[in-house]
Order: sequence, then structure tokens, then C-alpha cells
Amino acid sequence: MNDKIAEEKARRVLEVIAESVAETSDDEILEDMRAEGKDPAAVAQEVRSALFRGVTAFKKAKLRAAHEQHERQVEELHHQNFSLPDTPAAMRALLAKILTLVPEYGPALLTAQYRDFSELSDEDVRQHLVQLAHLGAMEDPRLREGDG
Amino acid sequence: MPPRAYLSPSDLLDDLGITEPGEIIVEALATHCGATILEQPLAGCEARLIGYGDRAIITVNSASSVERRRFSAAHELGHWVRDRGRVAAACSEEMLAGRWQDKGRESGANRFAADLLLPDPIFRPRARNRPITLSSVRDLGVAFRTSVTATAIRLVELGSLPGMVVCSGPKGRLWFVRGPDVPKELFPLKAPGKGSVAYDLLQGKTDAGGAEVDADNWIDHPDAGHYEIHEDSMRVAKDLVLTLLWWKDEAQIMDLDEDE
Repeated sequence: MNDKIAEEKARRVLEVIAESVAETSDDEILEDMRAEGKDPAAVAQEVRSALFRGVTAFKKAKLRAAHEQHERQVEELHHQNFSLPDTPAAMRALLAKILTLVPEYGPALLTAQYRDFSELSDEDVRQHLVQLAHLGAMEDPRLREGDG
Repeated sequence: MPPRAYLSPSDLLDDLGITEPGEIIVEALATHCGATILEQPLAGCEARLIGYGDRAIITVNSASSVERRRFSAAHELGHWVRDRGRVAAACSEEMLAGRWQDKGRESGANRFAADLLLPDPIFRPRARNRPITLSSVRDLGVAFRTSVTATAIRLVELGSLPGMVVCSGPKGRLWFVRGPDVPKELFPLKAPGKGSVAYDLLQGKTDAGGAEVDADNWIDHPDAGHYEIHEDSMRVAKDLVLTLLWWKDEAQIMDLDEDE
């Protein structure tokens, strides 16, 4: 609780400072800096560098977060249980139905070597279904219409 | 579902603050674009893309080298961000190594991958003054964890010495990339000449190698026989030979400049 109060106080102080700076003219700021013996160009460069460092750190944090998210997603794909048919034959039938109703998946699921659907191994079929389920493609309205 | 905004390779790298080769983590870049990269054994292709809505899964062949896996993943990511509406693809070794020059989807995805994994602002300073040889390509490939073909193209495009990359098969030249300092008059022959290392490679007579060869083994120009050129060739896939040509002695280029 104390931390929150301190944070709120600090935020208000910063807001007052920001308002004060915003209301001050450029000439007044330059005059104040020179009066304090500071070089405006050097201070401007320092501020630019600090901002650049801040922005870069923020972006690199996004890179780290994306990498962590990737690892979580791979973990999910390997361990998440999807509701798939019990037998290889039923899985194959489901994939065949998907390829009929959503034919745009054909180029990815039937590669140069496996032009014939029947040549896909049971494991290939299961992996395709897991990936499609992970993406939510099993909920495609075209598949539901196909049930009718 | 809102359409995904197109992100160019430079947008993507900038978004994630990438400034060093080691930070080019293709899995993180893909995640940023809504795609998850998986490594699994694949038969019949090097990589596969399945997309649905704003998410995709890219599967790359776990049996391939890390350089090939990275390039394949970046290539599929190129399909994902470039070819909106086309949600599925399976790309073979030939598509990844053999298509660079046309205006088709595969060349576009290869170009995207090269720009993503070997970005100009990061690659150019490291390529400066590097000889246009396979040895340079291998050194840079280690730093960027990239394939020979992609790295060779970037060395020729962004390096500071004059060179050309040519990819040949049994029926002749498949594609070539000319460096910015090589005049347009210097056009490669339709097939490597009998005095070239690439010719021997395609005949199965040698493994790989570099040599000074007469320029008329490679260049279709009336005066080519008067000059020498450095050739470094290797097999990059079954029936595909990659050649780096380097005008180590720049006389041919300078003479052409004087003629103008």
C-alpha cells in the first residue's frame, strides 16, 4: 500500500514538472540552461542518447518476450491434448474431410513426395490434425457445414 | 478478424530492436508475426506452412542443418507475411535453393528470408573488403547462421568488391545475381564453359574448388577472353552448383568503364 502511495506521489510530481516544462518557452529553457553553465547541445545529445537507449531496451524486451512466447507455444503444441478421433483410420477420415472442405490446405499437407493422400503415415496424419486443432482450424464453419 | 499488417524484414528487425547477428532469432521473429516454428522430421519437403486466421504453424525439417532450418523457417515466414490469403505451402529444397531471380512467390519468399537473416545494416559492415570467395561466405555464414547460397548472394550484393553469384544445373544457368559494381554489359553465359570448375562439378569430375579461369568461361562478352576471373564453385544440392565470380583483377571492369 505504501508503495502505491509513494508511486502516486512521484507520478504527480512528474506531472507537475512536465506541465511546467511544457508551459515554458524554448528561449526560457535555453536561457535557464546557460545560466546554470550547461551546454544546450550537449544536454540535447544526452537526452537523445537516453531516449534511444530506452527505446532500444524496450524493443529488446519485446524480442525476449517473443522468444519466451515461442517456447511456451511449442510446449503447448507438444503437450496440449486435443480432441482427436481415437483410431488412425478415423483420424485419416477426418483429415480427408478437412482436405475436401478446406482444399487450400492441400498444398501443405500433400507434399511433392506424398501427392497421394493414402501415402501419408499415421503419424503424419496425427501431426497435421494436431496443428490444425492448435490453430483453431477445426472450428472452421465450412467443416461444421460439412457435418450437415 | 482484422487483416495482418504486412511487416517488411526491416520493420520486423526494427520492431524488436535487433542490431547484432546473434539477435536474429527467427523463432522470436515468427512469433511476433503470429507464426510458431516447429522442428519435426519431414519427408518430401524442407518446410511447411499452415495458417488459419491470424495464426500459423511453420514446420521445418529437423533432419536439416541449423542454417537450412533457419532459412527454411524465414522463407515460410516470408510466405506468411507476404502472401496473405494463401494459407498453406510446402517448400522443397529446389524451391529454397533454385529460385532467386524470377518474380514468383518462391523467389519473393527467398528474398524475404535473405533480407531478414542477413539484413543490410548488420551485414554490410561485416562484408566490407571481404574477398568474393566461399571462404568469406563460410565465415559470414557462421556469424549469421545462414546457408551458403543466401550468404553468397548477400556478399555479392552488399560487399565492397566486384562479384557475381551464378547457380547452374545440368541444363545450364538457373539464375544469377550481379554485384552493384559489375557493369550490366558483363552478362553470364547460358552455361559454364569447359574451362570452369563448375563445368567439372556438373560432370561429376570434382567436388569443389577455386581457380583463376579465363573470363570467357563465364562471361558473354567479345573481349572476355582477354581477362581472368576468380571462380569458386561448390555443389549446393543434387544437380545444383553455386559459383562465386570475383573480379580480383578489375581490368575487365575498368576497361569497360573507359569504353563508356
